Amino acid sequence: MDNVIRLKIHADFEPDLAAYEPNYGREFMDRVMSDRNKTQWNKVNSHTMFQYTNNVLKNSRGFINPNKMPTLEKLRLLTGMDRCQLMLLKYDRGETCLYHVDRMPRWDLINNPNDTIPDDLDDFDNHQYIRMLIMPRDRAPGQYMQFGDIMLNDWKAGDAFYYRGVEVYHSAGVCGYEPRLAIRITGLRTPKFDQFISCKDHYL
Amino acid sequence: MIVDYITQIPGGFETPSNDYKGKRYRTVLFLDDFKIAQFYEVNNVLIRNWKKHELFTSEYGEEYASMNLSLVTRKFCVAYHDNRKISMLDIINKLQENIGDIQ
Repeated sequence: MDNVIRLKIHADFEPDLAAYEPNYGREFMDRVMSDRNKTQWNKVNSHTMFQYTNNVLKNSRGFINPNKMPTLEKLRLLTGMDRCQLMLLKYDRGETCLYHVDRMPRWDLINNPNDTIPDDLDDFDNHQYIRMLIMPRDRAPGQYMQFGDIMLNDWKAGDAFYYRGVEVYHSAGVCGYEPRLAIRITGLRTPKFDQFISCKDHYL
Repeated sequence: MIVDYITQIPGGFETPSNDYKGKRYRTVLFLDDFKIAQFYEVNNVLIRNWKKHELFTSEYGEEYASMNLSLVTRKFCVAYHDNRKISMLDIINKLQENIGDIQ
């Protein structure tokens, strides 16, 4: 696959998934969008604004609770990213993240009370940050994802995808009855991470 | 023959379905060229790279689904029919007939 590195994480994610809570606040987004002077609008990813203004449903998100999700928490060490943020994304039927490239603004991380962000980073377009996705369940009918010109409907539990989200356009959505879960890992690249992606199979 | 005209805005979708409206075949007439992030699948096989006015036929029993994750609206006609052979003209004529009924 061009622009995408595909890995396999062998683990039983299922017990942890039951502890999912959509605890990622949308306060920043609501505050920005309600600003009639639009002074803050450039801090929001254009596709997010597109979805917001066109009433296109967006997926919910929740931070990983290390106490209730010990297997997922191990991914922090396994991937070796610095300033690592672990998040579970849940797409119910009709929920999407339309075609976009990532902007990694500070607000995307500061909602996590355990994260501190250095002051010298930009407010957005944070190219220092990288992201990868891990699929904890097999794909069910009506679930889709896309990276660049790759369109996927055939992943298995444990499939992991690393791609340059700030450069490669991507999207995901669900029109089926089963929710689509994805573990999103954001952080700073380290030599340990490079070692991690150079190996195709990992065991938790 | 039954013909539907579908406009799928960004985020628009058809839930996975086996509904052939009592007919044997379901043919999609694409009204725009394929664009990345526009999904259409039959029996878990993704259909892509279609051209405007291309037809794709599935048979009763095959599950279909679609979702538009691109940022542009796409349009297609869907015909449910019993004869395997069908043309774009058949679908358009039926659609015009339907519009005539409304008028």
